[in-house]
Amino acid sequence: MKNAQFNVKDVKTVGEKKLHIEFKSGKEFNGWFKLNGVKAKRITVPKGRKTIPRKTYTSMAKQLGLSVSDFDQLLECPLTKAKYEEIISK
Amino acid sequence: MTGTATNSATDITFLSDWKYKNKDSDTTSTPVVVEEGVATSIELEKLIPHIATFIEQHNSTEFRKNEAIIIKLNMLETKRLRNPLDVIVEEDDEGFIARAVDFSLFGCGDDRIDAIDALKFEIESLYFDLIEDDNFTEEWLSIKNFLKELIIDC
Repeated sequence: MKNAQFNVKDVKTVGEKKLHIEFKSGKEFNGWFKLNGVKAKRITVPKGRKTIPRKTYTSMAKQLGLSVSDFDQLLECPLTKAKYEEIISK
Repeated sequence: MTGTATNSATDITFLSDWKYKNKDSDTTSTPVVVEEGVATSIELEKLIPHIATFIEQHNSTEFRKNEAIIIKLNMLETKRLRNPLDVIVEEDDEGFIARAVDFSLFGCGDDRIDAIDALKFEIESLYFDLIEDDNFTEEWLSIKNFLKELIIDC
């Protein structure tokens, strides 16, 4: 788990740029990932936390339908949008 | 996915016992009687201050900091629930996380109550997202139906 390497801003940025998630700002940031135009995954990115605690990190991975190691890869870059779509389509 | 009113009554009976054993923290002059199997939303409402105090006391004394607890939510930030919703609350590094058991949603906070409050807000936020339209996967449409049955929209 590479939660110590990333902060909430990294997760939000990757969500926006790589997965084209549009976040809505409330108490936390929430956004939907659309698969073939249909809302398929919803991720919550907590505000006001620089580092991401382990269980929060795991919960965010789960929301995206990813294992923690795949979520690491998504944030680190190797996991592309196409690969992500392949994973959640299984 | 859903609980029953009977379960709800059973689960909160211990709070009534706890209340009588902790009279210093009593916030009402009228005793609240909860009978197994006959709890109503009014009775549950009367218990809310005691539930909050109960959780707070457990936060500071009885629970070890890293102990995961399961609580039953009966209310969200502005809405009531027809049946209690199971939530796991546990330590998460320096803070706490509250997670819904029935779907993938969480709230974070500096203490247990903050985390539970954050989750309550997130459940309502999800509910409002889901009632906007029907452009969701089957999984989410199922959660939408679950929440529509669970949440009392008033």
